[in-house]
Amino acid sequence: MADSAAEARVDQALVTRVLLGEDRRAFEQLMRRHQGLVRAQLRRLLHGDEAAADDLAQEVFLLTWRKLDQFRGDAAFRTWLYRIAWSCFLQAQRRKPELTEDADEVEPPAAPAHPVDLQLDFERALRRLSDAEQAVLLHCVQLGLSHEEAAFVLAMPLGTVKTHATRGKAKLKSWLAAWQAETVQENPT
Amino acid sequence: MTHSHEDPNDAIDALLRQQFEGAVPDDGFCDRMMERLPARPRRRAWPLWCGVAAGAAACVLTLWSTPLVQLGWRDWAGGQWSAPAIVLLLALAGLSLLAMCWSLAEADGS
Repeated sequence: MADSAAEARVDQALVTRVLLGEDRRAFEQLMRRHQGLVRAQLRRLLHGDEAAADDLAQEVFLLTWRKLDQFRGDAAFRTWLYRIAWSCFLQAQRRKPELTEDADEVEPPAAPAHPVDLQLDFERALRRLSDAEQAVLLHCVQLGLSHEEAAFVLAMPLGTVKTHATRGKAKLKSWLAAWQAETVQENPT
Repeated sequence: MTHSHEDPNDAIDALLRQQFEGAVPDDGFCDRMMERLPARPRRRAWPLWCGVAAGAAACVLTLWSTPLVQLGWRDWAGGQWSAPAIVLLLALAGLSLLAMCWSLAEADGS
């Protein structure tokens, strides 16, 4: 908690330096502090498309540079960045022709034979969740945001975020339980 | 899998975290971005100051014709605490207070 408060103060100081003196070095520091997770967020949202994620990340930081005076410090700077990245992602998705895949009609993955298979199948299972469930689990579990912060980033009501998190985990849990049962049957020792 | 005695949600969380690659290394991303960074759009201050000046001028022109301001100013300058002088003083104090509140709110928000 103390670390995150200290991090937030550093971010706030850097933002102030940029705004007061048009300090490009301060913005560079801000970017170096946060680019890793913003790019990771975009890569997950774009299912591992690194080139598209980096293009979008450039768009995110250019927008951040232009709109930095709109950062009021109500949320942590990284949360604010995630929100910009999420908006840019949604805009990019609207520009793209839609590829439809109905999550409910897809069968859950079969039981994996080895741990590596489990990772691969877990990845496949994750992609079969709805877009909203994937986004909520990404932000709440993988990026470590609180439900409130995820609600801010995704512009969703808090209750909706909690519902998506619970439903997403329940689906994954049921698929995982099926895998465990099948693995135990195959290897009874 | 050895999660049989653990909370299944913890197992899911652990798998999700394990499956997340974490922060992406910079690999020259920031340097490329800094080369592309344009000059920051400067917020133009002149419309604000023009508005303040126009408002102040309109205020002075409107109030200067009323005897209250003239009387108040004269008494204040002469050191007499008449009713018009006190009204003028209170008006100025009120405006100062408003300006201070606005400044504090702006400073708090930035």
